[in-house]
Amino acid sequence: MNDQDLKTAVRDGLAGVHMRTPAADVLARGRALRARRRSLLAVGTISVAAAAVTSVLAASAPHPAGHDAVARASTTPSVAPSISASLTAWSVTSTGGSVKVTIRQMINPQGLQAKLRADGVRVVVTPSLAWPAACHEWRGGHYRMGSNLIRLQDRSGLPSPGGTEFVLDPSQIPSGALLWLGLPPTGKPSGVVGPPGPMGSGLFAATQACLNS
Amino acid sequence: MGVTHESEFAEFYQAARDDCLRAVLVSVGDRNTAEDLVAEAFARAWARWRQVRRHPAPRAWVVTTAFNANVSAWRRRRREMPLFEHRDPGQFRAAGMGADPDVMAALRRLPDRQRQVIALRFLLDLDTSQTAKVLGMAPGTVTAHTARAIARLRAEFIPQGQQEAWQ
Repeated sequence: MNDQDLKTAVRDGLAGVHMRTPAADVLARGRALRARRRSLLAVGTISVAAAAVTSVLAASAPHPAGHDAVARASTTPSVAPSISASLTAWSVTSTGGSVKVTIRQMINPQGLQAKLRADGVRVVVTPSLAWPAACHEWRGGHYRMGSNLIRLQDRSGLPSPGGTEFVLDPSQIPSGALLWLGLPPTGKPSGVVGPPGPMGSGLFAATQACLNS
Repeated sequence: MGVTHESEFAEFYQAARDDCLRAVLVSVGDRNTAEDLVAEAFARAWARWRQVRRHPAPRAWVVTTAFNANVSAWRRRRREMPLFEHRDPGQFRAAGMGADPDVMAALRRLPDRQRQVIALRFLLDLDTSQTAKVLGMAPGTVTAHTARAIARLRAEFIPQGQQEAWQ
Protein backbone atom coordinates (compact mmCIF):
# COMPACT_ATOMS: atom_id res chain seq x y z
CA MET A 1 0.00 0.00 0.00
CA ASN A 2 1.68 3.21 -1.15
CA ASP A 3 0.94 6.71 0.17
CA GLN A 4 -1.65 7.40 -2.51
CA ASP A 5 -3.50 4.15 -1.72
CA LEU A 6 -3.49 5.08 1.93
CA LYS A 7 -4.84 8.53 1.14
CA THR A 8 -7.57 6.97 -0.98
CA ALA A 9 -8.43 4.54 1.81
CA VAL A 10 -8.78 7.40 4.31
CA ARG A 11 -10.86 9.50 1.92
CA ASP A 12 -13.09 6.57 1.02
CA GLY A 13 -13.58 5.78 4.68
CA LEU A 14 -14.98 9.26 5.23
CA ALA A 15 -16.87 9.61 1.95
CA GLY A 16 -20.20 9.01 3.68
CA VAL A 17 -19.80 12.06 5.94
CA HIS A 18 -21.83 14.99 4.69
CA MET A 19 -22.63 18.39 6.16
CA ARG A 20 -26.31 18.74 6.96
CA THR A 21 -26.43 22.42 7.90
CA PRO A 22 -28.21 24.39 5.16
CA ALA A 23 -26.30 27.26 3.55
CA ALA A 24 -29.12 29.62 4.55
CA ASP A 25 -28.45 28.94 8.25
CA VAL A 26 -24.74 29.63 7.83
CA LEU A 27 -25.44 32.85 5.93
CA ALA A 28 -27.88 34.01 8.60
CA ARG A 29 -25.45 33.31 11.40
CA GLY A 30 -22.66 35.05 9.47
CA ARG A 31 -24.82 38.12 9.01
CA ALA A 32 -25.58 38.17 12.74
CA LEU A 33 -21.86 37.94 13.56
CA ARG A 34 -21.08 40.78 11.18
CA ALA A 35 -23.84 42.95 12.64
CA ARG A 36 -22.56 42.23 16.14
CA ARG A 37 -19.03 43.18 15.17
CA ARG A 38 -20.28 46.46 13.70
CA SER A 39 -22.32 47.24 16.81
CA LEU A 40 -19.28 46.51 18.97
CA LEU A 41 -17.26 48.91 16.88
CA ALA A 42 -19.95 51.54 17.30
CA VAL A 43 -20.20 50.97 21.06
CA GLY A 44 -16.42 51.05 21.33
CA THR A 45 -16.26 54.34 19.49
CA ILE A 46 -18.98 55.84 21.68
CA SER A 47 -17.33 54.53 24.85
CA VAL A 48 -13.95 55.94 23.87
CA ALA A 49 -15.54 59.26 23.06
CA ALA A 50 -17.49 59.25 26.34
CA ALA A 51 -14.36 58.37 28.29
CA ALA A 52 -12.44 61.15 26.59
CA VAL A 53 -15.16 63.70 27.35
CA THR A 54 -15.37 62.49 30.94
CA SER A 55 -11.61 62.70 31.36
CA VAL A 56 -11.57 66.25 30.08
CA LEU A 57 -14.41 67.21 32.42
CA ALA A 58 -12.75 65.48 35.35
CA ALA A 59 -9.41 67.10 34.63
CA SER A 60 -10.98 70.52 34.49
CA ALA A 61 -13.05 70.04 37.67
CA PRO A 62 -11.59 71.84 40.68
CA HIS A 63 -12.59 69.09 43.14
CA PRO A 64 -10.53 65.86 43.28
CA ALA A 65 -13.75 63.83 43.64
CA GLY A 66 -14.11 64.07 39.88
CA HIS A 67 -11.01 61.94 39.47
CA ASP A 68 -12.36 59.44 41.97
CA ALA A 69 -15.58 59.09 40.06
CA VAL A 70 -13.76 58.38 36.80
CA ALA A 71 -11.50 55.86 38.48
CA ARG A 72 -14.45 54.02 39.98
CA ALA A 73 -16.21 53.82 36.66
CA SER A 74 -13.25 52.40 34.82
CA THR A 75 -11.54 50.19 37.37
CA THR A 76 -14.25 49.10 39.77
CA PRO A 77 -17.22 48.56 37.55
CA SER A 78 -19.35 46.94 40.25
CA VAL A 79 -19.71 50.29 41.96
CA ALA A 80 -22.57 51.96 40.14
CA PRO A 81 -21.03 54.87 38.28
CA SER A 82 -22.90 58.08 38.10
CA ILE A 83 -21.33 58.96 34.77
CA SER A 84 -22.75 56.55 32.24
CA ALA A 85 -24.30 53.10 32.31
CA SER A 86 -22.26 52.16 29.25
CA LEU A 87 -19.11 52.32 31.36
CA THR A 88 -20.32 49.57 33.70
CA ALA A 89 -18.29 46.64 32.46
CA TRP A 90 -19.65 44.06 34.86
CA SER A 91 -21.74 43.79 38.00
CA VAL A 92 -21.97 41.27 40.82
CA THR A 93 -25.12 40.93 42.91
CA SER A 94 -25.43 38.58 45.89
CA THR A 95 -28.86 37.39 46.93
CA GLY A 96 -29.83 34.48 49.15
CA GLY A 97 -26.55 32.63 48.81
CA SER A 98 -26.34 32.96 45.04
CA VAL A 99 -24.18 35.41 43.18
CA LYS A 100 -25.40 36.86 39.91
CA VAL A 101 -22.70 38.05 37.51
CA THR A 102 -23.42 40.20 34.47
CA ILE A 103 -20.56 40.96 32.13
CA ARG A 104 -20.85 43.50 29.38
CA GLN A 105 -17.15 44.16 28.87
CA MET A 106 -14.39 41.94 30.17
CA ILE A 107 -12.12 44.51 31.73
CA ASN A 108 -10.46 44.43 35.13
CA PRO A 109 -10.65 40.64 35.69
CA GLN A 110 -8.72 41.00 38.95
CA GLY A 111 -11.37 43.39 40.23
CA LEU A 112 -14.06 40.89 39.32
CA GLN A 113 -12.14 38.12 41.06
CA ALA A 114 -11.73 40.24 44.20
CA LYS A 115 -15.42 41.12 44.25
CA LEU A 116 -16.48 37.49 43.80
CA ARG A 117 -14.12 36.35 46.55
CA ALA A 118 -15.51 39.06 48.82
CA ASP A 119 -18.95 37.60 48.13
CA GLY A 120 -17.82 34.14 49.20
CA VAL A 121 -16.94 32.55 45.86
CA ARG A 122 -13.63 30.67 45.95
CA VAL A 123 -12.64 31.63 42.42
CA VAL A 124 -9.83 32.42 40.04
CA VAL A 125 -10.72 34.62 37.07
CA THR A 126 -8.61 34.80 33.94
CA PRO A 127 -9.17 37.08 30.94
CA SER A 128 -8.59 34.13 28.58
CA LEU A 129 -9.57 30.50 28.11
CA ALA A 130 -6.27 29.37 29.60
CA TRP A 131 -6.24 28.61 33.28
CA PRO A 132 -3.21 29.68 35.35
CA ALA A 133 -0.20 27.41 35.08
CA ALA A 134 -0.05 27.16 38.87
CA CYS A 135 -3.52 25.57 39.01
CA HIS A 136 -4.09 21.85 38.76
CA GLU A 137 -7.37 20.27 37.86
CA TRP A 138 -9.33 19.04 40.82
CA ARG A 139 -9.19 15.25 41.12
CA GLY A 140 -7.04 15.20 37.99
CA GLY A 141 -10.03 16.29 35.92
CA HIS A 142 -12.20 13.33 36.98
CA TYR A 143 -15.21 15.12 38.33
CA ARG A 144 -18.60 16.38 37.33
CA MET A 145 -19.63 19.90 38.10
CA GLY A 146 -23.00 20.19 39.75
CA SER A 147 -25.55 21.66 37.38
CA ASN A 148 -26.37 24.38 39.92
CA LEU A 149 -22.84 25.67 40.36
CA ILE A 150 -23.06 27.85 37.25
CA ARG A 151 -26.38 28.60 35.65
CA LEU A 152 -25.87 30.40 32.38
CA GLN A 153 -28.38 32.63 30.71
CA ASP A 154 -26.98 31.49 27.37
CA ARG A 155 -26.13 27.80 27.55
CA SER A 156 -24.24 27.83 24.28
CA GLY A 157 -21.51 29.77 26.03
CA LEU A 158 -21.63 32.45 23.37
CA PRO A 159 -22.33 35.99 24.50
CA SER A 160 -25.76 37.46 24.15
CA PRO A 161 -25.88 40.93 22.55
CA GLY A 162 -26.23 42.57 25.96
CA GLY A 163 -23.39 40.61 27.52
CA THR A 164 -23.11 37.38 29.45
CA GLU A 165 -25.02 36.64 32.60
CA PHE A 166 -24.72 33.70 34.96
CA VAL A 167 -25.60 32.80 38.52
CA LEU A 168 -23.08 31.10 40.79
CA ASP A 169 -23.87 29.04 43.84
CA PRO A 170 -20.70 29.08 45.99
CA SER A 171 -22.02 26.27 48.20
CA GLN A 172 -21.72 23.93 45.19
CA ILE A 173 -17.93 24.32 45.04
CA PRO A 174 -16.60 21.16 46.68
CA SER A 175 -14.39 21.44 49.71
CA GLY A 176 -10.75 21.60 48.62
CA ALA A 177 -11.64 22.93 45.18
CA LEU A 178 -11.95 26.34 43.65
CA LEU A 179 -13.80 27.54 40.60
CA TRP A 180 -11.94 28.83 37.56
CA LEU A 181 -13.70 31.22 35.22
CA GLY A 182 -12.07 32.01 31.88
CA LEU A 183 -13.67 35.10 30.38
CA PRO A 184 -11.78 36.28 27.31
CA PRO A 185 -12.54 39.68 25.88
CA THR A 186 -13.56 39.81 22.25
CA GLY A 187 -13.60 42.59 19.73
CA LYS A 188 -10.35 41.62 18.10
CA PRO A 189 -8.97 42.31 15.59
CA SER A 190 -10.63 45.69 15.75
CA GLY A 191 -9.18 46.09 19.22
CA VAL A 192 -12.52 46.92 20.77
CA VAL A 193 -13.09 45.36 24.16
CA GLY A 194 -16.58 43.93 23.96
CA PRO A 195 -18.76 41.28 25.53
CA PRO A 196 -16.79 38.24 26.58
CA GLY A 197 -16.40 35.37 24.18
CA PRO A 198 -16.96 31.69 24.93
CA MET A 199 -16.61 31.11 28.63
CA GLY A 200 -14.36 28.51 30.21
CA SER A 201 -14.91 27.08 33.63
CA GLY A 202 -13.74 24.20 35.73
CA LEU A 203 -12.76 23.03 39.18
CA PHE A 204 -9.20 23.19 40.36
CA ALA A 205 -7.39 22.23 43.54
CA ALA A 206 -7.68 25.11 45.99
CA THR A 207 -3.96 25.52 46.57
CA GLN A 208 -2.40 28.76 47.73
CA ALA A 209 -0.36 28.89 44.51
CA CYS A 210 -3.52 28.70 42.43
CA LEU A 211 -5.33 31.28 44.55
CA ASN A 212 -2.36 33.66 44.25
CA SER A 213 -1.92 33.16 40.51
CA MET B 1 -22.28 42.38 1.04
CA GLY B 2 -23.73 42.02 -2.43
CA VAL B 3 -25.54 39.21 -4.16
CA THR B 4 -22.39 38.28 -6.09
CA HIS B 5 -20.44 37.76 -2.91
CA GLU B 6 -23.30 35.79 -1.40
CA SER B 7 -23.54 33.43 -4.35
CA GLU B 8 -19.76 33.13 -4.38
CA PHE B 9 -19.76 32.17 -0.71
CA ALA B 10 -22.67 29.76 -1.25
CA GLU B 11 -20.67 28.04 -3.99
CA PHE B 12 -17.64 27.85 -1.73
CA TYR B 13 -19.77 26.39 1.08
CA GLN B 14 -21.30 23.84 -1.27
CA ALA B 15 -17.93 22.75 -2.60
CA ALA B 16 -15.90 22.79 0.63
CA ARG B 17 -18.29 21.87 3.43
CA ASP B 18 -17.94 18.09 3.30
CA ASP B 19 -14.15 18.12 3.12
CA CYS B 20 -13.97 20.59 5.99
CA LEU B 21 -16.41 18.53 8.05
CA ARG B 22 -14.39 15.35 7.45
CA ALA B 23 -11.15 17.07 8.42
CA VAL B 24 -12.66 18.39 11.65
CA LEU B 25 -14.42 15.10 12.39
CA VAL B 26 -11.07 13.32 12.22
CA SER B 27 -9.77 15.75 14.81
CA VAL B 28 -12.69 15.88 17.26
CA GLY B 29 -14.20 12.42 16.76
CA ASP B 30 -17.80 13.44 17.38
CA ARG B 31 -20.10 13.98 14.41
CA ASN B 32 -22.43 16.55 15.97
CA THR B 33 -19.62 18.56 17.54
CA ALA B 34 -17.76 18.60 14.24
CA GLU B 35 -20.87 19.75 12.39
CA ASP B 36 -21.44 22.60 14.88
CA LEU B 37 -17.83 23.71 14.76
CA VAL B 38 -17.67 23.68 10.97
CA ALA B 39 -21.00 25.51 10.63
CA GLU B 40 -19.75 28.17 13.06
CA ALA B 41 -16.44 28.44 11.20
CA PHE B 42 -18.23 28.89 7.86
CA ALA B 43 -20.47 31.53 9.44
CA ARG B 44 -17.36 33.39 10.63
CA ALA B 45 -15.93 33.03 7.12
CA TRP B 46 -19.06 34.63 5.69
CA ALA B 47 -18.95 37.38 8.32
CA ARG B 48 -15.49 38.37 7.00
CA TRP B 49 -15.75 37.04 3.48
CA ARG B 50 -13.85 39.95 1.93
CA GLN B 51 -10.73 38.80 3.78
CA VAL B 52 -11.32 35.05 3.65
CA ARG B 53 -11.98 34.96 -0.12
CA ARG B 54 -8.48 36.36 -0.66
CA HIS B 55 -6.91 33.81 1.69
CA PRO B 56 -4.53 31.44 -0.14
CA ALA B 57 -6.43 28.44 1.26
CA PRO B 58 -9.95 29.37 2.40
CA ARG B 59 -10.76 25.75 3.31
CA ALA B 60 -7.77 25.67 5.60
CA TRP B 61 -8.98 28.94 7.15
CA VAL B 62 -12.34 27.31 7.92
CA VAL B 63 -10.78 24.18 9.37
CA THR B 64 -8.30 26.16 11.47
CA THR B 65 -11.11 28.33 12.79
CA ALA B 66 -13.04 25.19 13.67
CA PHE B 67 -9.96 23.67 15.36
CA ASN B 68 -9.50 26.82 17.45
CA ALA B 69 -13.19 26.98 18.33
CA ASN B 70 -12.86 23.46 19.57
CA VAL B 71 -10.39 24.53 22.23
CA SER B 72 -13.02 26.57 23.98
CA ALA B 73 -15.73 24.01 23.32
CA TRP B 74 -13.52 21.36 24.87
CA ARG B 75 -12.92 23.48 27.93
CA ARG B 76 -16.60 24.32 28.16
CA ARG B 77 -17.19 20.57 28.30
CA ARG B 78 -16.67 20.60 32.05
CA ARG B 79 -19.56 22.91 32.52
CA GLU B 80 -21.63 20.98 30.03
CA MET B 81 -20.79 17.59 31.43
CA PRO B 82 -23.91 17.36 33.61
CA LEU B 83 -25.91 17.43 30.40
CA PHE B 84 -24.12 14.43 28.94
CA GLU B 85 -23.06 11.06 30.12
CA HIS B 86 -19.34 10.83 30.72
CA ARG B 87 -17.59 9.09 27.87
CA ASP B 88 -14.17 7.61 27.71
CA PRO B 89 -12.17 10.03 25.51
CA GLY B 90 -10.81 7.05 23.61
CA GLN B 91 -14.27 5.91 22.65
CA PHE B 92 -16.47 7.30 19.96
CA ARG B 93 -19.42 6.15 18.00
CA ALA B 94 -18.76 5.79 14.29
CA ALA B 95 -22.24 4.40 13.74
CA GLY B 96 -24.52 7.07 12.37
CA MET B 97 -21.70 9.48 11.54
CA GLY B 98 -21.29 8.13 8.01
CA ALA B 99 -17.67 7.16 8.46
CA ASP B 100 -16.06 3.76 8.17
CA PRO B 101 -15.60 2.66 11.80
CA ASP B 102 -12.24 1.01 11.10
CA VAL B 103 -10.83 4.06 9.35
CA MET B 104 -12.10 6.36 12.10
CA ALA B 105 -10.72 4.11 14.81
CA ALA B 106 -7.31 4.06 13.13
CA LEU B 107 -7.30 7.84 12.75
CA ARG B 108 -8.46 8.38 16.33
CA ARG B 109 -5.56 6.31 17.62
CA LEU B 110 -3.08 8.79 16.13
CA PRO B 111 -1.72 11.55 18.37
CA ASP B 112 -3.54 14.90 17.95
CA ARG B 113 -0.90 16.60 15.84
CA GLN B 114 -0.47 13.63 13.50
CA ARG B 115 -4.24 13.46 13.11
CA GLN B 116 -4.44 17.15 12.25
CA VAL B 117 -1.63 16.82 9.74
CA ILE B 118 -3.35 13.87 8.07
CA ALA B 119 -6.65 15.76 8.00
CA LEU B 120 -5.05 18.71 6.23
CA ARG B 121 -2.80 16.71 3.90
CA PHE B 122 -5.20 13.92 2.94
CA LEU B 123 -8.62 15.56 3.16
CA LEU B 124 -7.88 19.16 2.18
CA ASP B 125 -4.97 18.34 -0.15
CA LEU B 126 -2.71 20.93 1.44
CA ASP B 127 1.00 20.65 0.73
CA THR B 128 3.68 20.56 3.42
CA SER B 129 4.26 24.31 3.36
CA GLN B 130 0.55 25.19 3.63
CA THR B 131 0.03 22.63 6.40
CA ALA B 132 2.98 24.07 8.29
CA LYS B 133 1.51 27.57 8.10
CA VAL B 134 -1.94 26.44 9.19
CA LEU B 135 -0.65 24.48 12.18
CA GLY B 136 2.08 26.95 13.06
CA MET B 137 4.92 24.47 12.85
CA ALA B 138 8.05 24.07 10.76
CA PRO B 139 7.73 22.26 7.42
CA GLY B 140 10.21 19.66 8.66
CA THR B 141 7.94 18.93 11.62
CA VAL B 142 5.00 18.46 9.27
CA THR B 143 7.04 16.03 7.20
CA ALA B 144 8.00 14.09 10.31
CA HIS B 145 4.40 13.96 11.60
CA THR B 146 3.19 12.89 8.17
CA ALA B 147 5.74 10.10 7.91
CA ARG B 148 4.94 8.78 11.38
CA ALA B 149 1.20 8.98 10.80
CA ILE B 150 1.46 7.18 7.48
CA ALA B 151 3.56 4.44 9.04
CA ARG B 152 1.03 3.95 11.82
CA LEU B 153 -1.95 4.00 9.48
CA ARG B 154 -0.28 1.56 7.15
CA ALA B 155 0.29 -0.78 10.06
CA GLU B 156 -3.38 -0.41 11.05
CA PHE B 157 -4.79 -0.95 7.58
CA ILE B 158 -2.66 -3.84 6.44
CA PRO B 159 -3.20 -7.14 8.24
CA GLN B 160 -0.06 -8.48 9.94
CA GLY B 161 0.53 -11.30 7.45
CA GLN B 162 0.17 -9.03 4.40
CA GLN B 163 2.34 -6.43 6.07
CA GLU B 164 5.22 -8.86 6.30
CA ALA B 165 4.71 -9.86 2.68
CA TRP B 166 4.55 -6.20 1.64
CA GLN B 167 7.73 -5.38 3.50
